[in-house]
Amino acid sequence: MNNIPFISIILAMIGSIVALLLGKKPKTALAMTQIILVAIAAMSGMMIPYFLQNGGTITYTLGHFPAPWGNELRFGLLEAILACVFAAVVFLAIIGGKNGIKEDIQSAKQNCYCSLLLLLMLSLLALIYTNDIFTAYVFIEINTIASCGIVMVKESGETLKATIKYLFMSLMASGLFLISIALLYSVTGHLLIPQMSEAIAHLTASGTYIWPLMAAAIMITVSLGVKSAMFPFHTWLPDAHSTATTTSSSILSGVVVKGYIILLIKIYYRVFGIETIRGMGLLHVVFALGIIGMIMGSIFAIREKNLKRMIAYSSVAQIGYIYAGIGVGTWAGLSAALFHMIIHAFTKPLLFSSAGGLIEVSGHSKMIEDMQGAARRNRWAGIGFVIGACSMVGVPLFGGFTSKVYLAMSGQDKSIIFILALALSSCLNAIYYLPVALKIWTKRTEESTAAAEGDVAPADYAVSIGCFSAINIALGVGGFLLVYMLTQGVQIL
Amino acid sequence: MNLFNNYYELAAVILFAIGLLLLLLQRNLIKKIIGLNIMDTSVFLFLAAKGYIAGAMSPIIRDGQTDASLYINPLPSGLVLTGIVVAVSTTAFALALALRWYQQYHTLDIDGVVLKNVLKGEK
Repeated sequence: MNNIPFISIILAMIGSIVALLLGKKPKTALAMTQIILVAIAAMSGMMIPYFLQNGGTITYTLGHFPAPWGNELRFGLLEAILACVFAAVVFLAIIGGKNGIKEDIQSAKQNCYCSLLLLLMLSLLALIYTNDIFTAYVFIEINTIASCGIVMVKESGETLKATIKYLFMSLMASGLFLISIALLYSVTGHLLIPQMSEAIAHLTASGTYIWPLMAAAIMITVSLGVKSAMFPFHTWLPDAHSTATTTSSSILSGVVVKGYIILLIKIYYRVFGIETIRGMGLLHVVFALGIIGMIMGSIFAIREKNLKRMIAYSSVAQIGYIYAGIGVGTWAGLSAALFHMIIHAFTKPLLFSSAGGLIEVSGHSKMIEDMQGAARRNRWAGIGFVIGACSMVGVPLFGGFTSKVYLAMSGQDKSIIFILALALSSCLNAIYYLPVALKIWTKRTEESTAAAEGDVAPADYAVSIGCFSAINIALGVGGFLLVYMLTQGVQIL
Repeated sequence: MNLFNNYYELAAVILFAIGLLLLLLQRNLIKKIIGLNIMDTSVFLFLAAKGYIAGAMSPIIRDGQTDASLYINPLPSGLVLTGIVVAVSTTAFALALALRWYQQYHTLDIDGVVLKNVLKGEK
């Protein structure tokens, strides 16, 4: 049990190197990537029952130096659930976008793509597990380069522009993160999270170095906010997520932005302590930005005529929900935010995979107006899109409904604003998702012969859409079980 | 004033601000990348200044003296080293993208007048 996180990180690392050597066998590389991802998901899944029974956390020392100097991994129930979810989502996103990978990426570069995907997985795992703030910085950079890489791999003018925008926004954020680590190190003298938080507790109790601490907290919030597309910093997201190939879009919106949010949660709760953050007033800011994001993201999405950009803007709104949940600042709010994060991690890749399928059968046009009747030509994509849309709008029995209920219940003193914003945002979601869902199922009047193109969905595409949809409905019906586990999980923060 | 005694930190923060503004406001990709490097280097200056103790030796045990107070703090140097590796790799990636951009549009300008003229010319 102690070794699983380390083994899964190393496994992804070795896999990414081996994938580079498989230049002539892209299919083998892709198969190996999938096997490794399934293995990581299964191993992390094995930890869940163990931690449910025994509770607590395990600290794993790397190298031969003990606590105040060495490097550590720390994990418990929450980390196990998140690692399992992330690996599963990346795996399903790969099999859901296989057609896209074949079409968008030159076959000589497909192995590099696999390598990038595994690097991304590795950095996400490291961000989840690490107990050392500087290690987190290093893996943030690996994550940034890998995620820019998976956007860039579909080589076209628009991905180039999107990648450059994404890269420079991310690098600015990394710079802010690095200087805030330097500030924190200079006032606390530690890099490991437990020692650092002890030192910060002393400092806040004695009232010294309040300004450097506050500056560091603000800069970390801004930097991780930029990387996870918090509302005013979301400008890179629609371009990067909509121009990339289907698998990349799914992974970027499903898991990559979540990795940074989890790091931010860890820094709030484990480094500063939530009371210190509350005292600085940052929680109100995060809550307000979340609420504004919820509404503005949906308004931007309504104006979009391009299906993938519409789904991408919807991510801005969904990330707003997550930040609003965090901004409530209670355990209930936090576990509702984490629950919404997991729902979104399963829903957004479903929508992107379906959109990929719909685009394939609509003459490769991303415009919504060209999609009439597309669902009749690719039924799995049509079903997936409807389920995803229902979940995002918040129709009962689908995942999104359950998480919105939990978010609304967690509101406490902020609850009236929160519930109003949730209701407004859900209506806005319905305004842009439902017309599309209707349009793709409406028969084209002029040419009923278009059905001759037939049902092109390959078997693994159906598996991916089927799994995502099933998980969505399962979480919608049995979400309280996961919320129970998450409420247990957040206790270890 | 405390500020003037900590002139290394002051210089680092000023450099960081210069780098950040270059990265945000410049339209030329190479200037953006230079800004990125100034920003990263300013953090290295900050860390190196934090690790330095006046009059102490570099952290390699000399003449069997193991008293920690004789040496400077080695950890920030290690962080700077890691940071340099990270900065080099991100710079290399950014430069590769800039090269690709130049090959495609024959300008390094990313959203200004020059690019618009190039795009108009293509149409």
